[in-house]
Amino acid sequence: MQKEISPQEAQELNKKQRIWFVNYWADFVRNNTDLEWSRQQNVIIDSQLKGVKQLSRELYLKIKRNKHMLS
Amino acid sequence: MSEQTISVRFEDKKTIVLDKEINVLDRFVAEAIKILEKHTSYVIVSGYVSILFARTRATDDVDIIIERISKENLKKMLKEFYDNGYWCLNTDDIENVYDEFLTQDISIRIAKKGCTVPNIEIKFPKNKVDELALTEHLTVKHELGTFFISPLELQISYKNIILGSYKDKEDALHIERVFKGLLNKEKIKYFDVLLNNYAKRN
Repeated sequence: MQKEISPQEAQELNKKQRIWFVNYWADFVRNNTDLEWSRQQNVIIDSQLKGVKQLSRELYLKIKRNKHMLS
Repeated sequence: MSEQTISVRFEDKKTIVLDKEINVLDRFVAEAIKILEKHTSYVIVSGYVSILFARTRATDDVDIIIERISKENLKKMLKEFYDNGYWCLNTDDIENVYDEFLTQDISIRIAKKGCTVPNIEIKFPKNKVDELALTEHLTVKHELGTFFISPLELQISYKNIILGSYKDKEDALHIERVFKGLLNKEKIKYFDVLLNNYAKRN
């Protein structure tokens, strides 16, 4: 039976996994050509931006203002 | 420096050459910069800098600090954006952008007409840190042309100390790791002190 972890433990685990990936990917960038890493990166960037839903100016600015206030 | 072990190449101390495949965001930034740079000096700061160097995330906006140009020059720049199929997200009233936004320390956003994302977020320098980014910028050369970006050491400090979110700290870590051995650690310490003092005062 899988041990249950608390939300705090889950958050800590997630953070560690994210840091691991940042380091792993940065090392990949260092050790491969610009063409190789950029081709992989572009799958994410192009898909996110090409598929984005365009909000109205008003709504977009409202979201950005609220995000700024929350951070 | 042993640049042959890494893909990112320094042509000289302040110039980086990127031989990467271009994406939608790069193309948007390059086209916008072609207009912007005719009217003002600038520096790209924040998220796009780490994305330019391979960070695996997108961004909906690209932060750009411009020099404190005159109202007339700003109007000329905005007119050229509008003439080339862009719009300002904040207002279409080009006449008053200078007085109602930029000089009030409120940034303006420029996107392709009809769209909100991606956009460039333009602001005047607010403090010494912004001025330093402008004057001490690095040059990045790639297929679409030349960009000016914030010094990497300043990016790292700013993201860790002023911004401080998980995403920003990961951006900083990414830059530190990609440019390991090529960054000036004394500069990072200098910026850490500068920004800590700035954060305390504000």
